[in-house]
Amino acid sequence: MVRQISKEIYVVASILTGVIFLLGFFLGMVIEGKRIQYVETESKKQQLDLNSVQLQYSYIDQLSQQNNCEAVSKTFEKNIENLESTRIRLENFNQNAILGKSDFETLMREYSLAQIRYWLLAEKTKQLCNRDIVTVLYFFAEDKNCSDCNEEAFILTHMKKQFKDKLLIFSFRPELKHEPMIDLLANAHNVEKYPSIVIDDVTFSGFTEKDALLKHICSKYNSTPEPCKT
Amino acid sequence: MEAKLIETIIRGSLWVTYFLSLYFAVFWFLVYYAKLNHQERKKELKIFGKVTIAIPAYNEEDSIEITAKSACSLDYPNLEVIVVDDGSKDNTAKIVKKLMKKYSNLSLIQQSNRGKGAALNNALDNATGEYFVVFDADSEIKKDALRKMLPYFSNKNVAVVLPVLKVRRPKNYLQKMQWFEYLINMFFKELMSKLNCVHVAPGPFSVYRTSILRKVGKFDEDNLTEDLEMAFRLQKHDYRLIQLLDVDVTTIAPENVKQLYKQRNRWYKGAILNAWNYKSMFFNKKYGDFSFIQMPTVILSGIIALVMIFSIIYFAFKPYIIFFHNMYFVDFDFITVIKNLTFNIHILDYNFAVLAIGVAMFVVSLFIIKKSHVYTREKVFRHGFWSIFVYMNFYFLLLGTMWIGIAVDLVRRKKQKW
Repeated sequence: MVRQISKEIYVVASILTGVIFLLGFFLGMVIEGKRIQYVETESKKQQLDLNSVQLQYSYIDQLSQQNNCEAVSKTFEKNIENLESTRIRLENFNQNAILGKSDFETLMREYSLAQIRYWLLAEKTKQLCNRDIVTVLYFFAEDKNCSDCNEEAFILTHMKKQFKDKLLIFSFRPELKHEPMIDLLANAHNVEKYPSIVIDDVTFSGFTEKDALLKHICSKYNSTPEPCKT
Repeated sequence: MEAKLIETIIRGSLWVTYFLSLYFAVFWFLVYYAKLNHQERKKELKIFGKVTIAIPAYNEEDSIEITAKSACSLDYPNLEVIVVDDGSKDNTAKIVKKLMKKYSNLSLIQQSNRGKGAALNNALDNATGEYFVVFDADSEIKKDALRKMLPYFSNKNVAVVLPVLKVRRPKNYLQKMQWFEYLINMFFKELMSKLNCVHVAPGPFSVYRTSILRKVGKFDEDNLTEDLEMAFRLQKHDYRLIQLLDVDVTTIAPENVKQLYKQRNRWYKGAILNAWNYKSMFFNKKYGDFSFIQMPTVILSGIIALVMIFSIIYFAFKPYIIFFHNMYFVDFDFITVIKNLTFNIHILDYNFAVLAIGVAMFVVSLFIIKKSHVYTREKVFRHGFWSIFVYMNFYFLLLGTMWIGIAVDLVRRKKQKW
């Protein structure tokens, strides 16, 4: 007896499964497009925010309006926070990207440059507004090239939560290709391995524990902030 | 680097699993809507061929009376009921002897404890019926069952006809979850029946054609799942196995996790080992659809369950493990973390591919639950909303976890063997 093989069902099921998977793939592409669009829009907004805050500081500087420093500093701090959260989101999008890797890399380049601009502005306005803040430059690499970066980033994020607006952290990934500015920054501070942390002119190479960082950061303040008191 | 490799392997296996699960879902959808040539044909019963009902029993003093009575009271004129007491240490034999005074067609065979397969073979040796019914001692059947089932034997090639298996009076959530599982299985088995792919003839009221049973040989006495092995053997001999949806048999389901694990360990391990023994039937044109869809399903269902459970464990626990590992570096300062807890979630952060699969699986599950209830004449909310909720969200986790134990057993066995 010859038993039946429902060939048609196998073939149609294969085609339908393939089509559903392709649809899923296209949905993924559409979402990726939306993600790129979202980051681009955010980037434009943040560029505008940067221009605005730069202008505000110029205004304070030229017209000696130091009494407005506090308000501008708050805006400044908020902008950096937005920038950082978009950067983290961007890193995640990039990790899950299917075809848009190059678009995300370009956007990450833009974000790194924005970070540098904010860092320069922070340094410049420190004196102008007599701000008692410490700036930290954090150089990291992707997980596969840096086994301790995840832990170091966690420590820095935790310190940021403790110090709030007294501590400004700027993150850079020198692996990003075609961005000479980050290389310049890394070379200037003798960053040779990851993670590396630069606080003023001191570079901490490799994984640095919380206590060592805390000690150094605390020594930089004029008046002792709360986390340095314990 | 190793962690990255593990994650890549898990992600890769998960996508293969998604693809296979989707393929199976689409496949059975098509079978559901397909008009296949070999729909079951039945003829009205004119001659009432003799039926032998075999009840293998081992320490069944609590349920044997209901089962034996239910068998003896069937609305069928030509019937013999044989209880095989497989060396019970309780009052099983005594209860049957008492019942024999009331029911003239009831008889008892006593043997030393040799297992269910041996008990069934003992009954088969003594059976005088044209049809042979295996009736587990913890089951109950409706009176008109045989009248509804025997007409399907009009085709000489039909070896076994199966009723719908339902959980008898489920009390706790574990039994209620099994209630849904059984109905869904029945619905699937009916679809399998359309392709002649049924791979198991369960103990509660499987009606065999005695001559075919004798022709293919007796039940395998050393097999973990003799009912599954017999179905495989019948498939190998090109017989038809028919699953019906209009005859109900109820059975007692395990009431705690330990009992359930013991049962599933036997079932699933039996399925894998039998599939291995019948490996020549894999992708073999000679055995039609059974070899192309059912044989791979038997093996793949275990693998899919294992991949799913490992992925869930890995992806659900990984963030927490990393978090606690990192907390070590900040002296477990939970106060700062709690004080600064913010929820910065954007819609684009979600993994839409996984979300789409989740939604699709949910919709398919609802469809299957609804259809299996319609076809088995039950109401979806008979056991309340929460029992469906628990079934849909937790039962697969429970069975998946059980597969881990089964996989370990299988690997161990292999090591011992080779």
